[in-house]
Amino acid sequence: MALAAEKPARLLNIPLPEPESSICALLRGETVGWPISRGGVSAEAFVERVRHHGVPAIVLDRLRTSGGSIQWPREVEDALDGDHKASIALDLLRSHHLQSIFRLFAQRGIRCMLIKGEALARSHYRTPGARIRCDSDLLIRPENIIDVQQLLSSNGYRIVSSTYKSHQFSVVPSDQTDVTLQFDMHWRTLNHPEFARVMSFDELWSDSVPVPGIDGARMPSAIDALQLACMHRLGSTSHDPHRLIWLYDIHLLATSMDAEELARLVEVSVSRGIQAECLDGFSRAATCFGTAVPDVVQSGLRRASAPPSWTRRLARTHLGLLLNDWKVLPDGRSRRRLLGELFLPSATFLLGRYGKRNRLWLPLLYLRQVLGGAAKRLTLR
Amino acid sequence: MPVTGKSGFRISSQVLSQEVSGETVLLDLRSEQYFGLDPVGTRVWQMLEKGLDLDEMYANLLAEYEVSGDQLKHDVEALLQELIRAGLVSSQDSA
Repeated sequence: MALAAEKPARLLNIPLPEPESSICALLRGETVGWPISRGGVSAEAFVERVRHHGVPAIVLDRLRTSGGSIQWPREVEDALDGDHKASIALDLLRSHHLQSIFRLFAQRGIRCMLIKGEALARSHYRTPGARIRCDSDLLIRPENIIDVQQLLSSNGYRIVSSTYKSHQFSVVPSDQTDVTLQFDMHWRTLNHPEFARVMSFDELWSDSVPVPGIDGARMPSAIDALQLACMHRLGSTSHDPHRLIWLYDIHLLATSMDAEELARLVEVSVSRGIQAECLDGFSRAATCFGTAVPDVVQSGLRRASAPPSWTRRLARTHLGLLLNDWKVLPDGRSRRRLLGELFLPSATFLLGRYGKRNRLWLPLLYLRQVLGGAAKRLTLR
Repeated sequence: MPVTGKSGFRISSQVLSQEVSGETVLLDLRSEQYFGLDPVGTRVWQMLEKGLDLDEMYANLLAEYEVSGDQLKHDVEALLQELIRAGLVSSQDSA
């Protein structure tokens, strides 16, 4: 498979700061002298930035396959090597648990998909351990939430988060005493109202493909996975959208597609109204990793969608998402729990959230929670 | 327990391993501790997986590496003792 043989037009080139510039140059296959000569970045600071961007294993691999042409401080390579080995070990443990989880789901006829980094680690990276991630993301149907919780709780896992307000709940092995493994069970692909309803479980499932190495596990198709990656990096204000590992995911996905798949990607992106997000992802990946994006793809993604209907505009607001959450949740109990999590969380949670110990604060904190929740959720933003 | 020439070994069922770039990461599922093997240790692990006894390991390694027999014996026995101590491998002496 190969990309269409068109010379890609020059995309917007946003200059990268150091050491990101050197990291990206390295990952593009260039020979890079130690960055310290260009900006005084210490080895320790460099390693911390590599870790922030989630690319220790990939950088290490590039250093080791450079044939000696890249001479960086030994301490950098040793630190990255330590990170990589830890990631491999964690991945072995994670894979062991994921196999158990999918086996349990198969026995109960529960459909589930691996999504985001956990899936891509197995499909697009040389080894899963090369794609560092801090948790594993799985996608289930809203109607399976309770069954999944009961199944996992009675098979060695415990739930450690809310279930409804963030459209996901987290489970960890029951005997785990620190945060080593965490499995996030999403019942929407993304939490942000702009993107939460763009892809349904059934849409993703219909085009899904098997996950290498985990029996019975499926993941979104390359087109869906790439769109998910493009939306995910822009879907939260709490993370860095320019984190290199997410852009590297986009790079690997895009370069694995042939012309037909890229054309289909454009068509689906426009129909889903996310062509701007995909173009942004492609642009940034091209800047960092030289991802070749054919002209026809760029022009296709620059195409404006038809003006959205008012129902579509409503659907992409907090209020629209809340109304749809209400609709898709299978029973009254789930809906009550959704409202409870949004507006009436536990006293322990509230006291912790606002850093208070005295329960006399609770009436005021609950009032604040209700008003704050209403201001955020019951809006047309 | 000393290992002898005809010592056989069994890898614990609770150990997962992955080889990468000539080295190996071992994970003990019981303790969730992980260990690293360098390229020579990786070679020993490969032979353990194939069920070779100590004499067979020595013969293979002497053929593959330029090292004295005494040094090799010392290093391999030390590695195996460590693996046994960590519970990753058990000795099945068939002398």
